[in-house]
Amino acid sequence: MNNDESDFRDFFAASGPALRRSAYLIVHDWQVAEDLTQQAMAKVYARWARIAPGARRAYARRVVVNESLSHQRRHRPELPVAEIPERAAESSDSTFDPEALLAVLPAQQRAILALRFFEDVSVKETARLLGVAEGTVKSQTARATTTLRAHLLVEPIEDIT
Amino acid sequence: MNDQDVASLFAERVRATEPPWALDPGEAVRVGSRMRVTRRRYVALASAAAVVAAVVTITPMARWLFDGDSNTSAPVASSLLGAMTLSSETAHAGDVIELRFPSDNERGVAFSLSQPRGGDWTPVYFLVSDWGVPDKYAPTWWSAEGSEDRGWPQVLITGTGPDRVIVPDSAVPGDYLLCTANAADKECAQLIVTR
Repeated sequence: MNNDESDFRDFFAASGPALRRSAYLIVHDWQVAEDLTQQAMAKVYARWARIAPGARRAYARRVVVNESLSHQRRHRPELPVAEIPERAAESSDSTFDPEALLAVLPAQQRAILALRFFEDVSVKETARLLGVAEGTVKSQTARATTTLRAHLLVEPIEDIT
Repeated sequence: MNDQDVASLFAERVRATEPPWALDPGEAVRVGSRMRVTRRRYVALASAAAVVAAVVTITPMARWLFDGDSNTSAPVASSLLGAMTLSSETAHAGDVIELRFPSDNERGVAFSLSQPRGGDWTPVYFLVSDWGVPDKYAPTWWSAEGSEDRGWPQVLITGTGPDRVIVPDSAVPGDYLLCTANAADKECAQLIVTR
């Protein structure tokens, strides 16, 4: 095994789970997320020698997000959903169904959630990765978290100022 | 509870549903390696197409860059000269010459060798360097004419070199312009082939 392959295997083990999680948030199917992550990792390895070590995670993240959004466009055209399917009154840790909740969110909001809160990517970088304005990232983040809050039965704190 | 807290709670719930990690890095390595080979093939074909396109477009460019309409060498745009230097500005057909670059230079292994024709610099040969690894690769060349089915490997070379190229055996004496043919920034140097 050469150094490149050894480095890549370390990277795969360290970054793979988080990348799969990001893919899952976008496609809301663990099996598909796994396939997309494997596919994305192969693409990363194909260019491994050309990617600066410090940029590998960002590159992999970009590939995973692009693959996931492309998959979503090809296989599950987005249909607007008027209301959240379940109110959280019935929701508990044991019955929590993230797929049902994710199905309510548009793909772009899911991608923003994945990047902002699972990958800890800045608003600016998220905007660059998704090709949208920073304002869009902020407004979509607010909408997504409002939906999450409602589903998770967490009341927003009232603004007392 | 702010947005971050809501997202953290959601992340926690998502993680609770996450299946065990069982992806195989070996599979990614195998597929990635195949992608590299496939990409090289496509790039070689694309490069050959680019060469043809370059030949077609160089004529009006050369008219703009060079002054005069004789078959003798003409001034070359200063922006193209200087970064790439030759071990010798004169050479015989069949000679190997060394090319050197600034330390931050990035280039491929392909070069064009052009002659002045009717006031234009026209590529007459394409040269492939030894990749800067003379023990492993030998420099080669082919004529620009009928080169549609030829291509060079897509290799990124960095640093000062030297990259070695061979002056084609069939190169007739005269003035030539040697340029990078597969680099983001085109660099050129003038070469005189003598008898």
